[in-house]
Amino acid sequence: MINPSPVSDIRWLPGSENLFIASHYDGSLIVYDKEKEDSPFAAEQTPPTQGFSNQPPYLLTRKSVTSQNQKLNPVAAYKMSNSRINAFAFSPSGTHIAVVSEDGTLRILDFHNEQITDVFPSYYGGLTCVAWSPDGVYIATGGQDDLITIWSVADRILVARCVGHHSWVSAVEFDRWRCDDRSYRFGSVGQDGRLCLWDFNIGMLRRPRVGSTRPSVSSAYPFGAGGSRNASSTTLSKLNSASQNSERSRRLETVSTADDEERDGLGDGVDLSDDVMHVVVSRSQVATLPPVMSKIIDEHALVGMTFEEDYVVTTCKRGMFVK
Amino acid sequence: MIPPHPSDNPNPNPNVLDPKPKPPESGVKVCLAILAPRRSHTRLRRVTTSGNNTTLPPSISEEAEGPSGFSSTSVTTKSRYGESNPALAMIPTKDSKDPLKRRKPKNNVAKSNSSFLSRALIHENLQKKLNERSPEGAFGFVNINRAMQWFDLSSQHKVCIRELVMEMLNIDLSQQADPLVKLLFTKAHALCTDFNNFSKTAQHLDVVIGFNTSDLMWWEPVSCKYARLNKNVRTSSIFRSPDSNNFRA
Repeated sequence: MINPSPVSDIRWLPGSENLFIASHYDGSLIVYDKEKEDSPFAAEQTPPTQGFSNQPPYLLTRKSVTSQNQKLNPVAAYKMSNSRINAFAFSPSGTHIAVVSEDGTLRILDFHNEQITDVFPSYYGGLTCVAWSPDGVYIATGGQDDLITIWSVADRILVARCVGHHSWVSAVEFDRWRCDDRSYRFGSVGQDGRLCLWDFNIGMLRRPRVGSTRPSVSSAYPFGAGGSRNASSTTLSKLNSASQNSERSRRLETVSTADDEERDGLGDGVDLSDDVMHVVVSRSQVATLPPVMSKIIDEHALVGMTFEEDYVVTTCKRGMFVK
Repeated sequence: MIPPHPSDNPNPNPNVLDPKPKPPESGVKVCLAILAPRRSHTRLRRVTTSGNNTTLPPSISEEAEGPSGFSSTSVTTKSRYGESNPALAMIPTKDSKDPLKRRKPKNNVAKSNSSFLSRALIHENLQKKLNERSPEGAFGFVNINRAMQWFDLSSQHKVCIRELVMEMLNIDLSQQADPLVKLLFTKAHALCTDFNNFSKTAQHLDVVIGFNTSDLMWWEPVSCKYARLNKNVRTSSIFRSPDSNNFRA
């Protein structure tokens, strides 16, 4: 037995026949090979007793993918915190994983390089579900704060909070058939039995009365730009390069040279010793988004949803429903 | 009163304030699988307005839009996880020469005498049903309490779902929504499932299931084979069977 705690989520690695990742209730993310036997797992790095999750490097690589010892499972094992991972999702490019957990954080893991690039807090409560936009520019999370939160990966900021559920959000999913390069359609279901559909368009966001006019310019967002960054964090600069104009460059894969000076300029007046950990943004600084459709479709708590080209499947605690 | 058999679920405590932690459950979750080739997640069809249905069949309109939009975001340039590690390189075997022939898990779900998997109900015309169905239709892998069921959602869509709802409400109204395969687990509740979109062929589907007992199962439903990973020997009911001196695990 490699990990004794329940499995909260499981996904095949994109483009891999054999490897899949399971997240466990103890905060572990473990890569398995379907054809390999279990080993009595001995961590190659032992965990510190407590509190490691809120200090750099935010991730404990208990077995690295570069380990030469690959005859048996696990292929790799990571631990992010001591609290339960509720869900995770691969970026469309397959290189990053967004992980949400009961401790109320969204962590972005560059798992090819085995490092955490961002840790974002929820408004309050645990985060329960997560989805990437089909182009990899945004992440939507749903949580126990009854909110869907949209994060810009490249800008590394909170973009909008979506208010519409009356209870915990249990699943969020982008409708990739109804997204284009400007607007995004996504849906969510919650414990309130409600199915909400949302249309998100960065240009159409209703701004809060006090605050900046554009979410991608981060003066109103104290944590928007992470200050100067050393050159070794290649993925970060890759992300940042895409961020220089998130409205136009829509792909994580966009490779251009990162302009560190410009990043420094954006971070003016903000002294952040640590650019991975982000702080909660006040309500007055964040745009809110209402749903375009909100309907109670089930008397039971809904737990899952999937979009298909011409229908939506939602599942509740006791059954399944197709629209 | 006879206590419940170890393979039975313990009697539910009528006291809702029962302080004993219950094993985690996730409710019904469905994992859809469509065999027909599809746009990958990075490809995105441009939809000018929602409901703007083109008259072209999807395959043609997709090709026509090939160079525009996001479709140039190809997966080919990306690095593969762990590619720098020679220990993870795939060892070429006899099987790997034929890309359509994939290795299957070892154990048969029907002939298993594991105490983890208590029963497998396989539709008697499984192969026939699989041959007759359209690859465009969706399969659904659905976990309901201690059961994992494999449905063919392409057959009479709405009807099928209606029956499904009935069945999940434990109202046995009809046999029409027969699952292709239903796996019943002794104690474990499946919490999550994923279907491998990359390796799918008509003869081979890779499904992984994660359980609340920490067990993982790799299941190839077409050949009805499975393998277990991260085997939790402790919680998967080690018990002494009354008529034997051996432990069964």
